[in-house]
Amino acid sequence: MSFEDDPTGTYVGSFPKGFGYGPEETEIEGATNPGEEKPRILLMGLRRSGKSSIQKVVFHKVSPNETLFLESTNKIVKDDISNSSFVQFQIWDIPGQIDFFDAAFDSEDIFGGCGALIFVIDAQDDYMEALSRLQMVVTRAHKINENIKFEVFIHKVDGLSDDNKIETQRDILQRATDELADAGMDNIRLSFHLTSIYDHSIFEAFSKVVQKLIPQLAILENLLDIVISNSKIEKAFLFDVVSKIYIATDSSPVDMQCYELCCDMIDVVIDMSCIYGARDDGAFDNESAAFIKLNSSTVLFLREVNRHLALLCILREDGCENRGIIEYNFKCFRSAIQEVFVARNKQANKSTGHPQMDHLVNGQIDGTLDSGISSQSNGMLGAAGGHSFLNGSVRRADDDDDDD
Amino acid sequence: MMQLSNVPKLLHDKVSHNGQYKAMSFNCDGALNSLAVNKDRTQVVVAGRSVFKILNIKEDCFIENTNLRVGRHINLTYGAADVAWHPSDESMLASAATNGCVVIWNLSKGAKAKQAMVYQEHKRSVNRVAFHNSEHNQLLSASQDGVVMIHDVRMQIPCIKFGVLGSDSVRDAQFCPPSMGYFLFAAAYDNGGVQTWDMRRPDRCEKQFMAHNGPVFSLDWHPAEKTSWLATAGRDKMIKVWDMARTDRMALPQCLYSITNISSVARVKWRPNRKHHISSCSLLVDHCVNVWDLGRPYIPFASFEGHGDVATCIEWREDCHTFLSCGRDGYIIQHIFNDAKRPADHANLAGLDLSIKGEISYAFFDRKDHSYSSLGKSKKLPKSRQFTQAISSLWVFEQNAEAKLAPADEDADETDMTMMQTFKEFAQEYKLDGLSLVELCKHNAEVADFYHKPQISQIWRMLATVYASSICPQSGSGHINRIGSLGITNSQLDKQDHKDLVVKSALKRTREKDKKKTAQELKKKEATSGSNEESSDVEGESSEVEKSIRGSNTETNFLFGDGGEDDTELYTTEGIFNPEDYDWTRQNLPSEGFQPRHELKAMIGTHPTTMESEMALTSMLESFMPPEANDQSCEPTLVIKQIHEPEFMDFSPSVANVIKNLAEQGDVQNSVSMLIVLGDLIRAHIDEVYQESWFFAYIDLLGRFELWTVANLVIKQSKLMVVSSLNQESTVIHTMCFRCSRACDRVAWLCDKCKRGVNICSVCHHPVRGLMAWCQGCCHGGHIDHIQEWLTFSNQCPAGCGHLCEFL
Repeated sequence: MSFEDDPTGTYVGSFPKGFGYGPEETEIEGATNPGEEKPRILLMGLRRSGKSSIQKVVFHKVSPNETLFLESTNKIVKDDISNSSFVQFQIWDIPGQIDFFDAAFDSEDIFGGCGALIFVIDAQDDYMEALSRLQMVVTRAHKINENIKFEVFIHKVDGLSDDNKIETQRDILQRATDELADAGMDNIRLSFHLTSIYDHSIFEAFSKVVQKLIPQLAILENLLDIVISNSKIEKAFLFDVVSKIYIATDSSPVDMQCYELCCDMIDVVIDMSCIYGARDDGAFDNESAAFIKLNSSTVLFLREVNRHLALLCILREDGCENRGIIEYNFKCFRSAIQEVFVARNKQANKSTGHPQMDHLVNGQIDGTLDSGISSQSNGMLGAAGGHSFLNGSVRRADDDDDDD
Repeated sequence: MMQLSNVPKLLHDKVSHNGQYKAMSFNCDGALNSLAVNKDRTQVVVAGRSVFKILNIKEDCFIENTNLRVGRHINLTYGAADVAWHPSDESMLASAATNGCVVIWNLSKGAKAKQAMVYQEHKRSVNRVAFHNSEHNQLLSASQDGVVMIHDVRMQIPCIKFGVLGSDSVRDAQFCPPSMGYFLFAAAYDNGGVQTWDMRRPDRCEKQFMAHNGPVFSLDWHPAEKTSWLATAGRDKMIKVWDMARTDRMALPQCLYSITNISSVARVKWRPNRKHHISSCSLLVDHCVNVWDLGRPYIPFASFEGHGDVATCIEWREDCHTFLSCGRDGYIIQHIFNDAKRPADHANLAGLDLSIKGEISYAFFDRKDHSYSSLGKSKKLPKSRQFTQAISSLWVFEQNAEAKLAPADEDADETDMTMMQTFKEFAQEYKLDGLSLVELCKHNAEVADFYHKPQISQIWRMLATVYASSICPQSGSGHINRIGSLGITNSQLDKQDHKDLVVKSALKRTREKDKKKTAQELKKKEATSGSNEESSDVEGESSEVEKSIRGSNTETNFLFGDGGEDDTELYTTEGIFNPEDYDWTRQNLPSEGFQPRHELKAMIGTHPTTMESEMALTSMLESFMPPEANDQSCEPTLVIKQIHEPEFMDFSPSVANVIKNLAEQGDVQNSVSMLIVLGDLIRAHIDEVYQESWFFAYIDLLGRFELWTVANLVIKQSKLMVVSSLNQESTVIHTMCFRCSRACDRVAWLCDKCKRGVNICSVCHHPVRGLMAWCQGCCHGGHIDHIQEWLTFSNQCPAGCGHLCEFL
């Protein structure tokens, strides 16, 4: 973990403590690595395009209607999202009126450690100016840091009709790529998302942005694939509970309704456990679980992976006859995920900040596992080894299934 | 009706009821993701996450041939998200595994060693594998990691990558049919985009466009030659057909058709041999496989049930009447087109809707045309494009006849209503009394027309029409009564009026002509419902005829040729004289007295003049006396109005509604005017409270526009106690002596102190009888004529007091 552990606090996160974000004072082991910075997500765009609103709605649980009253941002706001082991990043909200050529604007510093740059375009406004700004930002940032992922949020689409949405998207895509091609930068790839803070599209778009920053995404997806095929689950999401962005899902297509259903379920579970839960400081612990049957013969199933991550599954009613198998498969899944953590943390040579994982790190050093997964997270050749291991680790569940 | 869509079904499907294929199904015990058939369609491979089997397709059943999921180490490569059969080599299969592997199977190998090759280049799960149609060894694979790869299945390692690792996931990729673009393939992305690539140029895509709002799940090239269509389907519930003809590289493809589904579309597949048919299956909710005709994008052309969960893959046979589908429920089903459900058969063929303006439109199936003419111009359209030509009708009913207006007019009306631009004009020019009801209505309609208020004018006209027949006895009475009286009095004036004929309007001339021709028949009619005449006026001028008419014209012209100006004259003079008398006559005259036949007849021949000019009328009216005398002189011979029986219908409730509606729109002026004009006919139908409030509002408004005279008229005409008593309050006028400036308390015309009358004309020094005008500042005044005359050359007081007098 790389959050600041100084108790006097350079901690910038603005979550209330009850949300469970922020450093857990008692468990910090002070293994900060000053050399490494968290990946950064920059939010840019013209003024009044909705950057701060996005940040507030997604990460601070501000109701979309209340964003009307947000003051315009006039300096760079840095926001740490260090809630889980996977989702570790800073969001920098960069005001629209900032001048890049100002000496105070250290573009090296800003773009240097940046993982993704989100450029917000107001679709209800005239976007010509935004497009030229986008082109300037993109070329500049690309010069400094070639690894930045550029995401364009075509925002405030709630005010557009369906036809209008796609027309706008086509137009913006066409113009933006043309301009880049004219500037000779056609090796830069822009991803476009239609977003609105009034529905779940902003969460989905942010999920996709975050997923691109997670090097272990392929492994997580694979694990979820294995779990759902062995447990007769239709769809599984790995959720970041607080922000409700999903950091991984299985490889089948995501349906918006399913996603919204899962978000609603998380709300319900948090509310229930806040009211009736034993703990005071947070809604979730490692044993949290919920099981909701819908009248459409669909079952929603939630299990906590760790304090901030939850596995949400959608399954048919007949698929959940054998909950024992699901439970067992889930345990395998959880341990596999923790092994991914371990590998990652070993590679980074850091403490996790999570007692369970630290325990794993300290107690259970497995050479093959280490090499397998760390090479995985390096993302290259060792894929086969990682997969074979993962397959092996869950095959027990599979066998078990067969026995039943 | 029900046969409407059955006919084309038989027509263009030519389904043989005893075809060679039969509907059949097979349970594979596990969700299926994909299926593929070999080239002679004797075998089918089905694949899911936990199923990988090859089945033999028999005539009436599927028989399991091989299970590929065998061996000690079954891992993810033994399940598949997609599967493809080599186009020429029967023993070769390709499957896409969810862990990113593309597996080549060699079926000729032994049971445990069928996996011939495993490509592991993809980082995330592979969504689609497809072989090239001509280059049979080229295998396309599309993966979640954003990369499309082309493998040569004969070689182990080298492959070509298209796209950037870590960009948006690729959901589908398909080679273009070789006839259109040998090296071309299209890929569908999670961000809603579709890209086409040239196999020889991996560095950049050839075309890129936004196809859907949300991920694109599937695409399919049209199989027919020379149809460069690409169908795409996505999460936004749409199937879209794009024209991919490569004309201009930069030009974006055009969307030719779009079909809306009830849920996200997971897979699309063109139906072979039918240019405009496309089959689809949903991602959720809808378990059917639907076949759509592009010409009817709202209801599936055919729909196939059978799956207990969503279908995932469709594979057509060559003959296009049979296809295989597999689903999440684990079944593979062979569907026969004959068994299809036709949702259009159950569709309601009538539609009804209400517009915000209260119009109702109603569309319905009219009649069936059995000639099967094809849609479009060309007669040689393929059979699949043929439909029964159905004639449908669309009716639009409007709420009120008068509501029909050009939008611009309506807008103008609304603004006018609020701006009160024409309020003053209307108030002054509307006539509320003094004529027959019908004439009043028509006059008011003309006023409204003049100020471009078609709606108001239409209402007035409607009132005129509605009450013309039914109200004739009452309204006609006053009218005819006047005819009689005027007829007598004008005889001595005709000479002087002769010269004024020139000023007659063209319209009236024609009317005269018209009437002259039909004089004989008209006479009877006119007596009772003369006022209806105007509606049949012929327009157009013929001056020659006019000249000949001039000499022998009739009195009837005068009687019915009511121009606006003479009416005004009539009105004012009448007001000066004795309106009560007149009113009384109009309202209460016994019907027996309405037969001035003989007078009319006598005059027709003897008085060759038309009494229409203003002067004539004015002078006539000066001699206009209470009409009883005339009535008595009339011989009550003809009582035609009783014979003439109009169809009586009670429009009053709807008229009351119209008036209420007007008032609700804020147009209290017109509603009050109508109330006054219609009088007793409508009063009973509207709540008095409403009437009172309208009257008060209108009077108040008139006050604000300083239209005191009109306001007083309105008060007078009101039949409501509360309103009509308004001008009976504080009616006392206090006069002041102009000599001693003391108020005359006892009598208004005598000063108690000076003991002299105060009604001395300052000009002629005679006492004034009748109308007297005086200045309220200095109390001097006199005969109205004298004062008027005086004021033409001086604005000082004629009495010499030096006051600058103001005579109101």
